Amino acid sequence: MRQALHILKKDARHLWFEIVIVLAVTAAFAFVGARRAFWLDDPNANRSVAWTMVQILLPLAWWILIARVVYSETLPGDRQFWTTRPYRWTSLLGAKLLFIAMFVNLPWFIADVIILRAYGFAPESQLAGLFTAQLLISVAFLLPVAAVCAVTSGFVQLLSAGFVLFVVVLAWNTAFPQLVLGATWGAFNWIAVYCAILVAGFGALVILIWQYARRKTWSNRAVAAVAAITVLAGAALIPWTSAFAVQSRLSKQQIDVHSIQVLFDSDRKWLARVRPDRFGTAVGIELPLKIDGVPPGIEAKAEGLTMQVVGPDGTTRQGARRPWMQIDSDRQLSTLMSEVDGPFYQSVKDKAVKIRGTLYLTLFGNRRTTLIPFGGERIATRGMGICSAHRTGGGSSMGYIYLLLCASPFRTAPDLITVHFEERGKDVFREIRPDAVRRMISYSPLPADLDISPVSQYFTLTQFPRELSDVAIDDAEPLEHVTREFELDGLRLGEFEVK
Amino acid sequence: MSHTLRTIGLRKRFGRTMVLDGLDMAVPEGAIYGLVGPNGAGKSTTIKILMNIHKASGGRAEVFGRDSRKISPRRDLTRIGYVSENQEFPEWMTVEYFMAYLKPFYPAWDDERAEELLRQFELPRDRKLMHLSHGMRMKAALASSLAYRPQLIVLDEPFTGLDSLVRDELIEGLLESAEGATIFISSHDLAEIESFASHVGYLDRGRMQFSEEMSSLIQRFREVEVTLEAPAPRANGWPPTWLSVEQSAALVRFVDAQFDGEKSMADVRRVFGEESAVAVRPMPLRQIFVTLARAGRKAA
Repeated sequence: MRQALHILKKDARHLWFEIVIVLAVTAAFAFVGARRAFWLDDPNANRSVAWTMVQILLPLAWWILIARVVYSETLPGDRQFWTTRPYRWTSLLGAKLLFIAMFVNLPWFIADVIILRAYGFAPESQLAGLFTAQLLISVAFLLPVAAVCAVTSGFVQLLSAGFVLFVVVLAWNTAFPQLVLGATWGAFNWIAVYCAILVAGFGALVILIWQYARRKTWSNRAVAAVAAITVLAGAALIPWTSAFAVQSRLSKQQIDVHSIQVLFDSDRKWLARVRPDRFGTAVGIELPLKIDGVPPGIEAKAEGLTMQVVGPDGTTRQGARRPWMQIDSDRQLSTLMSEVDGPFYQSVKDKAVKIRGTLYLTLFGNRRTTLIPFGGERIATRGMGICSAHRTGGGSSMGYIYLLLCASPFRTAPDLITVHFEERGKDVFREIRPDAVRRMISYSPLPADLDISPVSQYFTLTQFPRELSDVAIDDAEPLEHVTREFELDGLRLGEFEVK
Repeated sequence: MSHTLRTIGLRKRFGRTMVLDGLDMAVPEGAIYGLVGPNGAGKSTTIKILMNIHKASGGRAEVFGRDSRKISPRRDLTRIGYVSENQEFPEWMTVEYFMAYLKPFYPAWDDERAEELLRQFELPRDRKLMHLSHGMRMKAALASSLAYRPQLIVLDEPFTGLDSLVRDELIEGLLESAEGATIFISSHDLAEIESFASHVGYLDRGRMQFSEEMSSLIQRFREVEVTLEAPAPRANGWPPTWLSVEQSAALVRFVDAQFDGEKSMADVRRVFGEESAVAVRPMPLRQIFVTLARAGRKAA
């Protein structure tokens, strides 16, 4: 430990300028982040440009500082003076990690505390989020950067490695857009993303330990390449249904789902469509579904679907799309959206077929409504963090613009949100705009998402000619993720064919 | 006799190039061993394997009787001083900070000695290493490697690019400060080490051509000149210890690699007859090396 501190002291003395730069950028991050909180009081106080800039600058400054500190004792090569001095590898690695913790993690932690306070979140109640955010950034960014620096001998090699990685990612995304990591799974993305983070973090740790202990540069470069490929292919390697099974195991609550049934929604039969493509090779199928028997107080949201069409002679065809793409769910309305091959469709189009499958559902419950009066008061809201409601304009023919602004610490809750702009004093509350707030959600059980910003902001607005009294936020928590088997019998697909 | 450094059948291959090809070498404790050879002979590679900077492709290298791959920072590197001509230093450090920084790494660091070395080498304490001349930098490196009284000092081409004055200062400082230590020094120039080395090894194309004590080397090599009474026919089948044999009509000149007084003279008379005049001269080390190098290449 003494040797590690001695090396740390040397690095701090040598890299004082880089440290000052990182501290200055972190201070700017804290300042702009804290000033951004005024947005809750004044919607016009928009600091998004400055905020975007500091969010780019901060990781850049971290990256340079980490590279500089690792390169203080470059690992590849055979000419470094320190390799023949009594450096213990544990002390050297410890010194570098301690340096990163001291000049990257700690200032950022303090900046997060300042920003949280500015929004009105008590930092002591956000400790889990604070530490999780630190852990995620460390595992997903800081350690991999340190690992890449450990297998390169300077900035030229580091930039070359970055360029190669950029080209590979670009090529991958172009070649396999459907396999871009976490790009399509919505609230389940976190499973693919966190698997990738685990691979990246574990790979980085292996590289750092092995490289510092043995200086096997080429072997460690190979490990880095394998880790990078695994991270890139991560989404492709994990089946969505397995991700759902994992999510299901993490469910908060057990709900009796035996009563839930998935049926063909004959009331909305007119929405059913069967569309052969112009080459006759594939046929798109859209069928409205009814989710019946949902227990009282529970709302079901369809997340994915797997299916097969069974012809009268027993021949089957799997739905050709990915599970999360085979369902379109808009609150109460769910639509099966699949595809089968053209020749098969032609052979069964006028016959009664069975559609057999599994529907993947998230059940929401524990509803609660929070009323937020217009006037800018900050109110703690379950599922949304802290919110304020504002009325602007007035008197003109345009009427009023009503805004709901919310700020959530470390992550947005995966709750089902409905926002009502309400007119009080009437016999019936008038629902002006029932709308879920546009925000990215994740079913991750962790108290923070992978994000450099400790607070996410989001808003919704509406326009109305008369004065409204307040905003009602209706929130339901995700309680369980379940699957239901279903069978739609006696469908003649040809009846729904769009000519 | 215990050996501070030893290699047994050491091999190192870089791609298709065999740099060391079965190197056997032993450096006795307390010796000043000069490893001499042309550029590319494998001297630096040998040192880097001994210092566990490179891994050997085969064979074995030992330092203080232990496998060099198992050199421990605490147990071994605190007893070794290593200076190389092309070492990369923390250029931003001043001479004084460089010494102060290294001090806690060495339990045996001697402040007085460090001071003395700085004075002796006339090193400017407050100047950054990047602003030092090559010679000054080598002095700083040597000072930082002598201040803890290492038992083994390894110097890889330390005098390359130095003027003779700086070289002499370095040698002087080294010999004064390294009393009792084993010194292993590599050089492509014999003249650099012949004045103070106790042992010498000659490495060529990855193979040790010879390795022995300097005194015995000088003792056993003699240049022999035989003047014949009458021109003799060109003879073949000289004793194998006669190297670089040159023969003209009445004169034969060669180097006897195992000169042994009366026994060698008897050999000469047996070959050339009693009437021939024989002159025997001791050889300078450089000439011995040239002879050996030529003989080695011829044999190869």
